[in-house]
Amino acid sequence: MEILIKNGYVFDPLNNVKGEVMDIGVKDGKIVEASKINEKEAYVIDAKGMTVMAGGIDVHSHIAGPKVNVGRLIVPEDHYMTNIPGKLPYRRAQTGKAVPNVFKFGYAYAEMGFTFVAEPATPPIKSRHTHEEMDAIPIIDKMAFVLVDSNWLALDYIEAGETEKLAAFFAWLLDATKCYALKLVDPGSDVGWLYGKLSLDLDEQVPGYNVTPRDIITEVGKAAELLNLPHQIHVHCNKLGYPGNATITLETMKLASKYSMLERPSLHITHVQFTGYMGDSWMNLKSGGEEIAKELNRNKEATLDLGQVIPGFSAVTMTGDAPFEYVLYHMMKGKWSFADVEAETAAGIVPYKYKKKNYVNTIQWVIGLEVLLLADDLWRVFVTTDHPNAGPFTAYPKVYSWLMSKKAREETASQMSSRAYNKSALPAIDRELDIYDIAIITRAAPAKLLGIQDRKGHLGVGADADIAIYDIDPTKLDPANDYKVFVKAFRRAKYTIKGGEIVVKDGEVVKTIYGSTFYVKPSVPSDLYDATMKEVKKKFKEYYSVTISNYYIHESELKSPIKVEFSTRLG
Amino acid sequence: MGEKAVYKLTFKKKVQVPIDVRRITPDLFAGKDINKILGLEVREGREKVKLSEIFDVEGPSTAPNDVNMIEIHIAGEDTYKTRFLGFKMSGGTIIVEGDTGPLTGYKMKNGTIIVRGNARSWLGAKMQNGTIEVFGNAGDFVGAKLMGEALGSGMKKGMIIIHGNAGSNVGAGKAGGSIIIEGDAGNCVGAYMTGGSILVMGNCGKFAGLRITRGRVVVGGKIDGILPSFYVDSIIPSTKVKGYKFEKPFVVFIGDAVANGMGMLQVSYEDNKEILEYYKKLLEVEL
Repeated sequence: MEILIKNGYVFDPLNNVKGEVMDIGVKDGKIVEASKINEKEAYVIDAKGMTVMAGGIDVHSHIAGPKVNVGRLIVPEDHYMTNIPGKLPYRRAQTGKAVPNVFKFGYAYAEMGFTFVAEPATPPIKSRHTHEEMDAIPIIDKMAFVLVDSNWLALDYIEAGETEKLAAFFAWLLDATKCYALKLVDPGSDVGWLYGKLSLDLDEQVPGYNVTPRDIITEVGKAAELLNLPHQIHVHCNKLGYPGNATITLETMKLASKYSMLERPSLHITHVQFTGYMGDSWMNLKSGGEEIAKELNRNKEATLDLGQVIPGFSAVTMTGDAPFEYVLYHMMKGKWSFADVEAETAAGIVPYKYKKKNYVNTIQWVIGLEVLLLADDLWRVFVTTDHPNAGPFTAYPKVYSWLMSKKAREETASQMSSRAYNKSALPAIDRELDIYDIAIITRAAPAKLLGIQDRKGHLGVGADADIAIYDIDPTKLDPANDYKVFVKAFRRAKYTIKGGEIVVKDGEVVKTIYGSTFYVKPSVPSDLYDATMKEVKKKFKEYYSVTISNYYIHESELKSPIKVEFSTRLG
Repeated sequence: MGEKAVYKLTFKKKVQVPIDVRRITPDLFAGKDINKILGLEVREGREKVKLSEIFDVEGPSTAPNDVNMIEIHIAGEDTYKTRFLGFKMSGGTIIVEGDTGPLTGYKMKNGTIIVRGNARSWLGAKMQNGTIEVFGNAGDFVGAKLMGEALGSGMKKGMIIIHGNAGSNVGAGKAGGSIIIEGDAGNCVGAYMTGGSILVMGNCGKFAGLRITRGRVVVGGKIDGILPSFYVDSIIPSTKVKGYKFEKPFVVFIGDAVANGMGMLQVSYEDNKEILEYYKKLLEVEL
């Protein structure tokens, strides 16, 4: 199908296009020069007075995997009143708000103009489930990150200091689980959790191993650099959710310079809001947003995403940080589920609601906005809600409005705890982003972060035809004042085009297609690979109840895999 | 107070699938003329139909503005096919000359529902206030919260009277109000309750008072067992619940210790001598 998008205001930061009126042609799922499209045969979209951007990219959203499924089971109340009947043949039934069903994930992202989502934590042995679930999510492209911080085989190599073998093992693991990057969740603490320890400090010894979380981050980081991985290590910091943890986050960010070898940044700190608390108890909690933003501006090796809290929404906290969920459960006295400790990770799930008038929740809301608004380089900071931990991804337009309009921030703040708000730095920040900045933090920068900027996140010739068109005239609309109009337009895209097909029209899904799953296969020198695999196979027999051939996921098990191959710095 | 405006709804045809009648409430009738009432939406299965396609309606041409002056009678063989009867109603009366389906009186705010026959599950679930009277039996989860919701989001206030028996989980997650069952009840009476009272005049099953934190469960008949997480407190010679008096001794338990609860479970001594003898010895009292 050929599509011609005419006269739209195009925002494409990767190609330095800043709101120019341009025509964009789409042919065979790729973007081509507009002059090559035959206007008479093509489907022509008149985008006059509208904003055209590449499809959005979410770098951190829990959309699939065993814990998401448990999350669905634990909140039946989320599914009573949120049912949307299907419209066959092009739309399946949807349900859920905090943890939607697979169909709603795809549709709701597409309706917002998003076409690419990264699932950030999958236990290696259960990644088959993650892929089955991701295959059922319509429209969007996706990728998964594999959890490695408490992997016994990896810890053995870290303890022995064999970084090259560690890298070779990770190369095999990424291919075996068909994942894209390495994720560290509260490094080392899941091993500690096996021994009943609640959380580990950065320099505390991991029980049973002569290593500390600091060693784990540096060694895994080094391995990722040796492997030339397109996306750096994705770190959920230690002591998440404890007051005073901002100091640990700052320490962790400084670690990046120790092992950095590549041009790209070397460390991604995820949902920084949960690890940005100053003060020593919940009573005198303070925002560490300013300090973190300062460190981010100084340290070019670090990137981070927000985990922005959405007050007033029910959320379900689900993370691989089971010890913290155990602590949260004892604070909430509600429901708790916990799993996967046998799978070298651990997951905990606790439903939670962020209250507007609550002091702590207001501080949490403030941290995310402070970090982003004080960051000099928007290419290294990303908007997420860590869906569903801090709020649903469907609230992204609301987050953008807080970033673009001081008026919107003040209006929300007026409903929240004024004691917490007035204590923070947020009232003094006057910065207001514009639409181009939003295009950076939601399209261009995430594509660069994930190393897919050659085909996603821009509208240059040869890129994948993932395009979002919003009914906003950027020359007329002032988002600082009319932020409600902006939110409305971004909640429901006028058109979303995915892989050259129109999937959303006027904010409604009109076609169900299925996207691809990205994974990496680094090529490791064969002698190193064989030596490592010999050891891995031996330990596998010792540690696991499955055989290594059953553990390995074949490409044929995925609906539409896209293999990213590259050479490494090993050998 | 003038005469009540009485609307009589009778089934026109045999209904094959469940019908969602959440719009048949005095609130939506109030102030409307009869044609508008006939045009109210009813869901028959997945189809949206008009009220007039399912019911014959007899009544005054214009309904009064005051909801409390409206009385709706529903009669026919298929009344048990209804769902959400009296949804969020804030006054007036609904009388069902037969059985009703699940979720009758769901989230009801005030007013009265009278069921001459039996009621199915979730009767008065999450109700805020008002009165429900059932002359037959009721199903499970009377006055309960929905599955998975926070404790105490069940029935808040008001009264449910069941002249027959009730199923299990009566008053699950209830925060207040009272439920009176003149017959027997199933297992888990008052599970997760945080307030209010439940009276079972007949027998009841196991796990009465499971995880209650506040409130009172009174069992006037036989009980299948006392949860081990309840402390025995005392024996009282008589008890009284919402005007119902019992002139026989009751053993009083406090619990549920699992939930650090301070709820009260009162069980008739004479009907349960075998179970309660042990507790009586602990108390070292003579009757």
